Amino acid sequence: MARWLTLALLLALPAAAQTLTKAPALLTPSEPRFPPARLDAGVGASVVMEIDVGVDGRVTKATVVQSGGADFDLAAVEAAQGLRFSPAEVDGQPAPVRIQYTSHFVVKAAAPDATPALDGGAPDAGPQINLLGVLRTAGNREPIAGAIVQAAGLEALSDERGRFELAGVPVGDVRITVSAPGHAPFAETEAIRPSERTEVTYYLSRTSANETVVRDVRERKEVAQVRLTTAEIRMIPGTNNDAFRVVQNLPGVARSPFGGGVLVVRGSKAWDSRIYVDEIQIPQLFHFAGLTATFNSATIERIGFQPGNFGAEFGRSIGGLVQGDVKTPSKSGVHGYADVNVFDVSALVEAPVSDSWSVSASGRLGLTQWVLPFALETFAPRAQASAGFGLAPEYWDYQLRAERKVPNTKDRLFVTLFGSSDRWAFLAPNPLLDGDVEGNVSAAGTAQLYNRLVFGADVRLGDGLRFVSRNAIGFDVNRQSGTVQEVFFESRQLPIQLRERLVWDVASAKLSFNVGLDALVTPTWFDAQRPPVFSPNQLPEPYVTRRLVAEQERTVFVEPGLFADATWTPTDWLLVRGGLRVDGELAVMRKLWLNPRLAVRVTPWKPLTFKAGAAMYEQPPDYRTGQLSAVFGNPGLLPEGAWHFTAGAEAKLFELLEVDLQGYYKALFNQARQTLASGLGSDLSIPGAATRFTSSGYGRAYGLEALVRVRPTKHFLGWVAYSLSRFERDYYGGVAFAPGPLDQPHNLIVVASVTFPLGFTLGGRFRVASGPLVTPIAGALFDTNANQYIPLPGLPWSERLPTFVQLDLRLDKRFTFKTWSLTAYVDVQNVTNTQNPEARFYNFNYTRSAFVTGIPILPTAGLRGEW
Amino acid sequence: MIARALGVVLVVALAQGCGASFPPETLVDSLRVLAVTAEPPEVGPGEPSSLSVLYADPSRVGGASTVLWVGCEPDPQDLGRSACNDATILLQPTKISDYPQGLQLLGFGPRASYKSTAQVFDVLDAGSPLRQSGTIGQVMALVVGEAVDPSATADKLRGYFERIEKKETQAVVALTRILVSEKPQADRNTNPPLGRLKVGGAPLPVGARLRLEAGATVDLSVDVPASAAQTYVEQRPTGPVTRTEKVVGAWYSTRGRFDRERFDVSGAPVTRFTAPGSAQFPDDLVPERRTGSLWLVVRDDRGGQAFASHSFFICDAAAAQPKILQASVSGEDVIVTGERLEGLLDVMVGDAALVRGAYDSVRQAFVGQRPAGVSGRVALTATTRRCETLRPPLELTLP
Repeated sequence: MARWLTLALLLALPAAAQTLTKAPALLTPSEPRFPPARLDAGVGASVVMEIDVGVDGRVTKATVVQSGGADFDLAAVEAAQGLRFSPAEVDGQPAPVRIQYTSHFVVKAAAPDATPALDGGAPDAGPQINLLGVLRTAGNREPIAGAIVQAAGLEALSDERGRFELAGVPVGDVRITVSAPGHAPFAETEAIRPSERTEVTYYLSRTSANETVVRDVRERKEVAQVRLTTAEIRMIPGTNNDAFRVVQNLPGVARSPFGGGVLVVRGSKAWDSRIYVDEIQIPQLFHFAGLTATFNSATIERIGFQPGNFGAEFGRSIGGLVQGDVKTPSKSGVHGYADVNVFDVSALVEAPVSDSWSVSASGRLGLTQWVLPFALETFAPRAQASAGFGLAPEYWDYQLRAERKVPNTKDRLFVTLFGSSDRWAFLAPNPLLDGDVEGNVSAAGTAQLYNRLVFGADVRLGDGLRFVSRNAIGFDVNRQSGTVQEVFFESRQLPIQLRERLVWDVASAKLSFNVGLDALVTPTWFDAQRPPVFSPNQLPEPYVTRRLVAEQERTVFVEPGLFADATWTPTDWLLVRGGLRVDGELAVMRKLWLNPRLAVRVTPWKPLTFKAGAAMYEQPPDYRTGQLSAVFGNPGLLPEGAWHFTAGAEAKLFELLEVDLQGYYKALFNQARQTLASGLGSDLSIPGAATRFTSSGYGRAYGLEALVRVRPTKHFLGWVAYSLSRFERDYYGGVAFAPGPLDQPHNLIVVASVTFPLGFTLGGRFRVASGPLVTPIAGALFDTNANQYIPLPGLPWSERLPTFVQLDLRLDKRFTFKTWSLTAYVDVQNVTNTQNPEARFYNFNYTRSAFVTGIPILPTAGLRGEW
Repeated sequence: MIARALGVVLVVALAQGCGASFPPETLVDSLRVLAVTAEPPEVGPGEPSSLSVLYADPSRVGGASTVLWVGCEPDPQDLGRSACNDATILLQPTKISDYPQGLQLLGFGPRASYKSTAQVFDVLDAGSPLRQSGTIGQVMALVVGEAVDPSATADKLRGYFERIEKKETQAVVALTRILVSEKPQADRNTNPPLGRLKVGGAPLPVGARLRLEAGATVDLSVDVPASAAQTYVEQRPTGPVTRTEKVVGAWYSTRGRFDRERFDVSGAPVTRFTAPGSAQFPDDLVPERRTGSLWLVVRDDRGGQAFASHSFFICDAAAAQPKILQASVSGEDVIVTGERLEGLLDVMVGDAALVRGAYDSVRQAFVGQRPAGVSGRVALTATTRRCETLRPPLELTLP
């Protein structure tokens, strides 16, 4: 008698490193035909195959990787075509996967004939279920689907909840073996008693902590986009497991000064790039000094980063985009984590509350308010003597989510409430008021708060037609206080974002449309008291506080947005994406603008894709800082604009290596900049330019970006990112054209992570980048009233400091228990203690200088418990 | 501006944390301007203010220096049109010789005078609060490390500036501001009065040198009357506010180290000065001639300034032990005779030292001019280079 057995093992394939969130489960078995000659001979065999399971659960391809003999192989492959699985899910979405599958051909002895009941009672109802149980992954208790349980020649397949049942297991000690995808083989002996049901729960250890998936799960439409998986995110040293910080290791992103939290995309200023969580814009990406993101990474399912040439569905930005998609809270039991390290403590709890609803709650509290003052006092007492914290950095964030997701569909409904707060103040000598006097210090501080309440829905309206809705209301506070008492700038905002779009896939026409509304209405209250803004070429007035200007302004910034985006794939090798977007600001600027976008991807040979794009982008000037204010800015400013041009190629070699290479050119126009008061390039002769800002700034950015992702085995992850980037802008009203402050020609990042037996993971990050730019000081003027020297700057940002080189290492050790796991980690930044210059520090009269170097060797340790 | 201030603070903190170390601001070892006083510091439109500059250059003892003064007309509307706060002009002093609009040459030498036009506020409404709160007249003192001919032609003057621009000649630019307002005279700012320097709690005789053992520390303090901190009315966005000035003192010296660079005079604080030659500051050596200068500048936070100059001497145990035998007055000179008088440091009559007192080897006497304000019968005392005090039984009668 021929018996078949499946053993489905997920392979960690390198192609598009993404996370398998749901394994395929066998729904319809297909018994192979036992070759008659072999059966007669009483010879069995096993055939190991790799089979590709499509998004519909059907087997699209079966390949023998371990032969059991030609006739067995043929029978196994034939039978595999009839298998049906539940679709696998990658990052929460149905996806094709490749699994390992073994057919066992077992010759069994004939069963004895049934013996009639001697008592003439009821006929035998067949063997009763007397062994049943649940299979779970040790450490996180996730149910294991598709596992094979064997006992005394009997087999059972675990279902989606990890349950299995066996009937007629012989009484006595029986050896149970379990084979499960991605898990180590498991064996146990159970004592089966007569007339009793034995119930068991088995916890199986994972064989790979970072299994990832298969192929392109989504059709790639962008010409410049990198997606990251949680596995990639969690293995990168120096990022504190933070998905958003990992973005800083990608091409197109410059190293931020002092390793801080500024996201510098292709040399652009921070305002030019936007951060979205579930398509909702958030105003602040990182907490204090870039230690960690303001949105807990553990709740993020997927990160997408586009340094430019993004489609029409996003606008109001002339730089890049970072998008984070929040994952559906656990639907398979209560899960979560708690993490404590030197900088903060954080935790997450998620659980299902019904078949369709699940909830999650997470939060983070910074420890810097205690750690940094202690560190300063201990390691830098000299600094503490002259400058310290008036308010040590405090930060926290929170995320609450409830989601209803209909099983086996993409339909979902969710509500998310999240927010973040940062507050800190430095005690500092008062540079304007002869304040070096002992005890005469004042605080310069900042406070940033944002909250968002998001309502989201994904609804299938019909065949190929989907409605995606994201609406949010928020409350933001941004307050900055100067070193001089009574100087402050505060803005409170109530941003309301309305984003409704229809996604329509017209399969017959090979067209896909994405059209929608993307509006942002921002009631804003300014409360400011500060001196008149000095022009860049003006010496500061020491008595500025005598001329304070107070402003209380209430403004509503109205930014409508309409977009239409179409993707046409007439053949397998061509994808054309075009779109139009209308943006504007109607309340203050009273302007609308129309931006076209176009991108093409050509795949002449499957592993190789050429891509190109051209698009126009415009954004309002940074109104959060008052650039559109009638008092401190100029309401007549034009939208800041940029043309993006990109061309490049992607190649996937042997599913081990992925190469992405692209060049870009970005032309910037109508950039808001401060007016120049007098002297070289003065704007005072320009009619109407007596206001503080003009739109006459311009610049350009160009460069080359390369990303090589390597995944030779499932135990290794790594990439090499290189950016050749230039950013140039005008100075002195166009008299000079020179590198911008964030220009960084070379940035090479090598990231690698290796998993070892016994739960060890070792990761490394090596960075070499052009040194930061500083403005040389050409001289100094002694201000006798203020008793200080005023530096006289040379050409802005014209001195480049020495090259930055840094190696970071991270070691994780994971202890896996039955129901939870504990990871201890040590993350050492700047292992070689390289003194990387980050700035110049001058003596009192600017005649001598020294480098201010970045972080020294910085070991941090932490513990993370997950259940 | 706020962000820039935060950045500065961060860089300062990090730099100090990283151990970046420079000679202290109090140490004057090259051409430095230490103060520019305007008397009075606040004037009405069209009224003059006398300017004087305190500068020093220990690196070129006896070398010629020239002070060149330029000023700018106030900018009451705060349009940023003043050439005096244009960084591009300050970086290229040759532009000064082009006399940009609004810039005027005030003169050469250690003193000058500045006044705005009498019509400076005509551009404002009669009731503008700016007339009372005032506007700023800016003055730049350019101290050049060479002799500049005041009668130089424009071309020759340009040559000086070119050498400065090329850094072939040492030069320092100092900016001071004179408040121009229509306030009543009684409400205007005045320069803070400066009292006597005290060493170890005892007043230093006027004009006398501090005597310091090498490497020793002494407590320095200064008397500044409480009236130096004037009260005034400031126009704030929320309305007029009465404030009191903060008066701050700053020390400078050619050698030695202070334990603080600045101090709030209202607290009558004591500054500890460590004389050169201490083990604590090994690079602070005793000067070859064992002499140095010490300055104190006091500023209020509205532009008022005052300064005092002192000299110090590092005691020399190997110096001769002088003996005073006689003292006489001849006109303005006081003549002291005795034995080994080259060992004398200062001779005091009453509470003041002889002006420019020194041993005259030709006359074999210690000769100095009588100090101003001292008259009548006064006792004579002397200090020696060995840091001893001599109290000969001599008295002088000064007319």
